[in-house]
Amino acid sequence: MTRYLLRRAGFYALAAWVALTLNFLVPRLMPGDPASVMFARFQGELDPEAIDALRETFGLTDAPLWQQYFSYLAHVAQGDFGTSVVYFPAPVSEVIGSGLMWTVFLAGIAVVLAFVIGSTLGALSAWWRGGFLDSLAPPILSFIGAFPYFWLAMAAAWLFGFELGWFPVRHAYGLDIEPGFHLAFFGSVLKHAFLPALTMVVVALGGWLLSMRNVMLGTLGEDFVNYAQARGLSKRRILVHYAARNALLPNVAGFGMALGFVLSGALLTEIVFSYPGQGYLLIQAVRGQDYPLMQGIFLTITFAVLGANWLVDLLTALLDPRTR
Amino acid sequence: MAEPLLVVQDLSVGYVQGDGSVIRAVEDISFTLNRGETLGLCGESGCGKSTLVYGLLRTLAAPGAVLGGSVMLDGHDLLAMHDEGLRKLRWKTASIVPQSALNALNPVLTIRAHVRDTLVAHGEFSRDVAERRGAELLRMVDIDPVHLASYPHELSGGMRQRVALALALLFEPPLIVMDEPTTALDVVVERSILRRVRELQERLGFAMLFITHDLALLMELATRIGVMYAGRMTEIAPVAAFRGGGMHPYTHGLFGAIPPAIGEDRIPTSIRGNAANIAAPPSGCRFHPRCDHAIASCSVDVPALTRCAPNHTVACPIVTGTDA
Ligand SMILES: Nc1ncnc2c1ncn2[C@@H]1O[C@H](COP(=O)(O)OP(=O)(O)O)[C@@H](O)[C@H]1O
Ligand SMILES: [Mg+2]
Repeated sequence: MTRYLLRRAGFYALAAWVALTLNFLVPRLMPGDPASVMFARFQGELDPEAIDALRETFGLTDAPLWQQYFSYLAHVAQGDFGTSVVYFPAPVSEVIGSGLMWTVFLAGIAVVLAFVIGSTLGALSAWWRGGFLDSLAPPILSFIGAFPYFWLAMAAAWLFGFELGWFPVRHAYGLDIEPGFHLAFFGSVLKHAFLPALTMVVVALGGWLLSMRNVMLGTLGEDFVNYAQARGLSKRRILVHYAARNALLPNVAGFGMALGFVLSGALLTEIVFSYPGQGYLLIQAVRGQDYPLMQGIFLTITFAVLGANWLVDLLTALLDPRTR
Repeated sequence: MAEPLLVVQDLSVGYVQGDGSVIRAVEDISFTLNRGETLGLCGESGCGKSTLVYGLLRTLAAPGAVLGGSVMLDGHDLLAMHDEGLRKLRWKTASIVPQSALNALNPVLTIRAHVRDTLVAHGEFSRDVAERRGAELLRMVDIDPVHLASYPHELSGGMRQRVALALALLFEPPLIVMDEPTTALDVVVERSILRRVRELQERLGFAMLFITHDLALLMELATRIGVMYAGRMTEIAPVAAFRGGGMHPYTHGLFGAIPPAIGEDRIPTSIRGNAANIAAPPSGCRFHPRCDHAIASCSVDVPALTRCAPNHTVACPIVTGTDA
């Protein structure tokens, strides 16, 4: 098992290196050099020191390419992605750090909840095939999932936020609250995350439900389910450890994909609810032509996808002895 | 005096199709199995052997269903029992060795977990007992107890069938149903497993309902043999009565098809035509389209099992001389 995981980790390290190198090469090979465009734009606004810092970040010195490359790698290794333009003079790593935290918190919880609830509903629907749950949940949740997410999020913000006033509709916590380790802050964070998380979970439920239900129906027809019944095992034991446990395996890969796209996937949510996460930052970066910030965000997204894939490998190895 | 353990009367088992029609895969089967005895069930692939035994133990997976008849096992009316009563009774009174243990064992659980789950299902929760009993059983079927920690895919085909045999012996039930337990194995492994089965039977005294399409094998293993064709029983008699080739024309055909032993001067013959389609069986005697002795009435009248010697019944009016 460790050998398998190490081999996979080696593969992801290689992929990460390719991503890093592309991130270095693309701006340099692009026609019309984005850096100069940016310098021209900010010439009047930024003081010379900042511009020098930018040049430094881009490695746009006259040094040979390989030297630039190694100094770039050294910087990245230290978590130094340069200085943000939009949030000048904050370093990119700091800006991304706070955005990353909020996104991982919000979208991470939403994706995990959607997967757990959706898969459970799917397994139960298949178990009671044709029953009450099975005739209600799949059609309703697929119907909701078919709405454009943007529209649904706006509707939720309007209804529960503006009309009913139950939940706040912007920011990650009340601006009158001092962030820190106290109940008022946590309460405010949860209250602010509720609507965005709810909308993300609700639209994703249908997909998880249907895919789990389909796999589960096949699993319930397997010999080992029948053989377990013949041995007198309780329904509950068969449902959880024989049917659902096996039906889960193909869905874990999908879960990994969803986890990996957490960082980029929450984009719309963060726009609708002005949530200060990674997606929101990306919009700011694009608007302000903040290239260092954009590059930093793209790199973190790449790393997140790779990391999530590795997590899935780990999970699969734990759940399925045949892969070890 | 022989004491009946299993009494099956006029049992019909079928599969309910999507359009509501029913494929009657097993029709009007009656037989008695005495304690400690081995009844071999023989017939071509698809003639309903598995359907019969899974149906009579009420462990047939949907869309299979018992259509009529009665089954008395050890004094219990199986078809009239409540699900929970049946669940508690079954593995303790009648266990099954499935055709493919690979499909019947849960791929994500160890052999130990299979033993434990089965014990827990019947009220034995102690880990120590499970460990001790598991090791004991594996030794009984010539497997090193370290394989309690193995997963099904880590074992060879022969070892998996032995594990299934061990699980069937867990409560030392008076009846063990073997559904082609060695069909997928090579002859050497098959021999060694069957030798062990016979030793265990002598020691523990269980009765066996042994299914196979290998008539030659049954001649060595069984005390009585039942021959099935297209869902119906055509002949039941003690092994001795089959030494001369049996009485039913289909039985003759089966014996003729056995490959000759080394030094035997005989050319194997096949029965002409194809096995009957169970979804639309021929009228009258289901074997008549392939029978060399068929007369006009064979395609009209369904032949009844008729006693032609003590303990020997045949469903063919031509050989029993009951033809009008
Ligand atoms: N799920 C099913 N639906 C419809 N027909 C089935 C199903 N399972 C088995 N049958 C039919 O029942 C017949 C008997 O099958 P089976 O009992 O498995 O035969 P055997 O064990 O003798 O090889 C076969 O002809 C098969 O086509
Ligand atoms: Mg079969």
